[in-house]
Amino acid sequence: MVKDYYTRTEDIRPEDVLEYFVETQKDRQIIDQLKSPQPTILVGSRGVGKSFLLRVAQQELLHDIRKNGVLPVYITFSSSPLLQSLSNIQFYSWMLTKVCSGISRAVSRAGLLVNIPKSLKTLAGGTISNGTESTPLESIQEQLEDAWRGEQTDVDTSKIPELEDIKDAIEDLVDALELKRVVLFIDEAAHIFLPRQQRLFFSLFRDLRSPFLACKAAVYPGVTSYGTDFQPIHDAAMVSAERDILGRDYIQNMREIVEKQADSDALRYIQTNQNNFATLAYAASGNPRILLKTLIRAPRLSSSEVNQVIKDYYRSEAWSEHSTLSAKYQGHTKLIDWGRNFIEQIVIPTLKRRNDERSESEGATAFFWIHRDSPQFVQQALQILTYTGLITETGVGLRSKSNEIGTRYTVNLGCLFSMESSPSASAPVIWHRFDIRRMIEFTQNHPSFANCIDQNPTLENDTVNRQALEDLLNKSIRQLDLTDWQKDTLESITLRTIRSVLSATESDIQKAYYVGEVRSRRIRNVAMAAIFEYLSG
Amino acid sequence: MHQNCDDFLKSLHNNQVSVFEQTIEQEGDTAHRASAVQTVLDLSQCIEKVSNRPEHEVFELSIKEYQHALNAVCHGNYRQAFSSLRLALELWLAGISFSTTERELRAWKARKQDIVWGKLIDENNGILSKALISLFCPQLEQHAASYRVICEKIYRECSEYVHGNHHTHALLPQEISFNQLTFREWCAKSETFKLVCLFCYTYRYSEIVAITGLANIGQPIGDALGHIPEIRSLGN
Repeated sequence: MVKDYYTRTEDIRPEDVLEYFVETQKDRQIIDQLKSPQPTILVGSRGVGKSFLLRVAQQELLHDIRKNGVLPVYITFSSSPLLQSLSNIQFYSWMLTKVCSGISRAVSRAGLLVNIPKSLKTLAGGTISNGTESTPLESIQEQLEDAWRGEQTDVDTSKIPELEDIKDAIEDLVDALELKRVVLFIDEAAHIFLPRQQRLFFSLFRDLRSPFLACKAAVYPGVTSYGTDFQPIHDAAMVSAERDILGRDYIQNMREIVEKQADSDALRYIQTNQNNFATLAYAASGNPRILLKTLIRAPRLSSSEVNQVIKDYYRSEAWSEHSTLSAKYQGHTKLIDWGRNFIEQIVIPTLKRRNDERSESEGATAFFWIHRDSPQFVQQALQILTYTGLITETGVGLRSKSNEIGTRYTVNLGCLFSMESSPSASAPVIWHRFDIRRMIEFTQNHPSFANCIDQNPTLENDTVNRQALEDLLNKSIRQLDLTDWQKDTLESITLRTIRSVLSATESDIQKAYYVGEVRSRRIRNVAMAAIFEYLSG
Repeated sequence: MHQNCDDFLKSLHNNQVSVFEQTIEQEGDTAHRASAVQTVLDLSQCIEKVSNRPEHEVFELSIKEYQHALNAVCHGNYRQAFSSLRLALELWLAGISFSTTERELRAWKARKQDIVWGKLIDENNGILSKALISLFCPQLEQHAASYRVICEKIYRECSEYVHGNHHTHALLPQEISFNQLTFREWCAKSETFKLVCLFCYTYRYSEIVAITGLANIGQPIGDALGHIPEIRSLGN
């Protein structure tokens, strides 16, 4: 029987998250930073565990709330890609409603509502929620979130308190509940292809700064439109969630992550095929979600299984996932396609050739360096590649052999291994001798960049328009990362497009055979998570 | 009445015979059955080398219990098969533990002390603790944590059957009948059982393994643990 693993934090109940947590030294530093009063931006590509770390910090703070007086609040902006038609003011208002309703719900859930402070009425927009009904602010939020339907978006936002009122209310709340501060965790905070929303978000992030409220946000690498008000590093600590794949404990840590979920059979296969497990773990390039996904496909970890999954996933699926971005965001097609071609046709073959040429006693490479004055087009194409996890930035401001300054990247190791005819045999020879100093270098006028100099980078342009969203909403649910059973269930009640699933209620889903209240909620939640992930690219 | 009672028992027996026949008729499971039986031979071969030691009889009890488990699984008594497999594991680890403290072995035999699973698997002082392994075979101490996790998992999974956890009722047949999935699950666990037993044996008696040589102590250790370089080098 193939063992299923939790591959998304959303699938784990928040209170169970600590059971699955494998703490590394770096994780501890990140979590302590997330629990601190300092504003923090957590950066990491999809699946590296940003949501998980936010949840761990939240649970630890909740556990010690009586002792430390810090109230954690977790909210997610994952539905923001649906809100592209909102005006700046409306989107800003939507973010404020999310913050306010998140805080009032967290107060209620933490059992702090014996005496309801007046300040909570400000955050609820009038009436306090009893836990089941929507507050006035939540109703406004729901109306704004309906923007994707294309119906009128003239929502009355006058009941939304002003930012200063919100900050005052938080201060009063902290005082009334005898807390030290509120820590606000904002997941999926800024969408890479929506620079206008990015700027608005970072503006809010900066404005929310107060001794009584600490903001922490998880964003993808490549998010760079901070706007004029926000200065990274000055206005927030920037923390990377990427794992150090060259660290001594890397394989052990990845193994412990799997051990938390694996049964004894799976562990026996891992124990008796340690090299094959290590190959998959290195191939995942520090991404636990990808490791678990590939492990589901290679449960016995035999060499043939591992070779097959590396070929299937890293030689085609990982790349096609990147390329589907250009179908979704056509304004960025040139950037997306150039980036793929550059890595797939130039960087990886060159790295492979270098590794093949070197003897086994010499260091191996998976690293390349780009001059800091390379064309903007190149740099933005690389940002998109970091977003999809096909490359990882592993050093900024580094000198090359010719003493020039630039950025070092690591290519996705799975993609590198997939070039081998038998990755299970060849990859260990490579990963045993990685040497980060061995990098191939691309100067600012490298011939590969010849066609890029006159290209105008488009990442800054808000080219994602209403039509693009419309097209995405009309796509089949077969595109989503759901199990076949979940897809069949949705289709059995004629929910065939992303739009129809978004419109469906839990009672609609209950019309499916053998689906009751519990299952319908679970299916809807999973479907929503998959939709937001798909819309995010 | 007496006749009816015996008839009833005979019908149970007949069902078991029928399950047994179906079990051994499954051609796709030949390798599983062979491997499950081989475990008896492999473990027996290993403990022969320590037949002069006081804990030897505990290992014998473990192997005996494993055979009860094997017999049960072949006759469709699946829950009992998991139960006996768990006891076999517990006894084997207890044997290793007693080998380090004869006093406790004597106390156990004198019914003054029980085998306590929590103590056997303790992270700091148990059978698969780094501290203990480092005393007998330091080169294998790095594997302590992995084997401890495996051991905890298999014990926990078997315990779900022993305690009748809700999902096990759905997995097991309601009457005595053949169930290939459950049979295979038990066989997979028996493989894990053997792996853990042989690892514990190898680190505890590493000197015997080294003196005898991997080739001489037989295939069992090389086959099951040959993927560990430190074990390969033990016999050289």
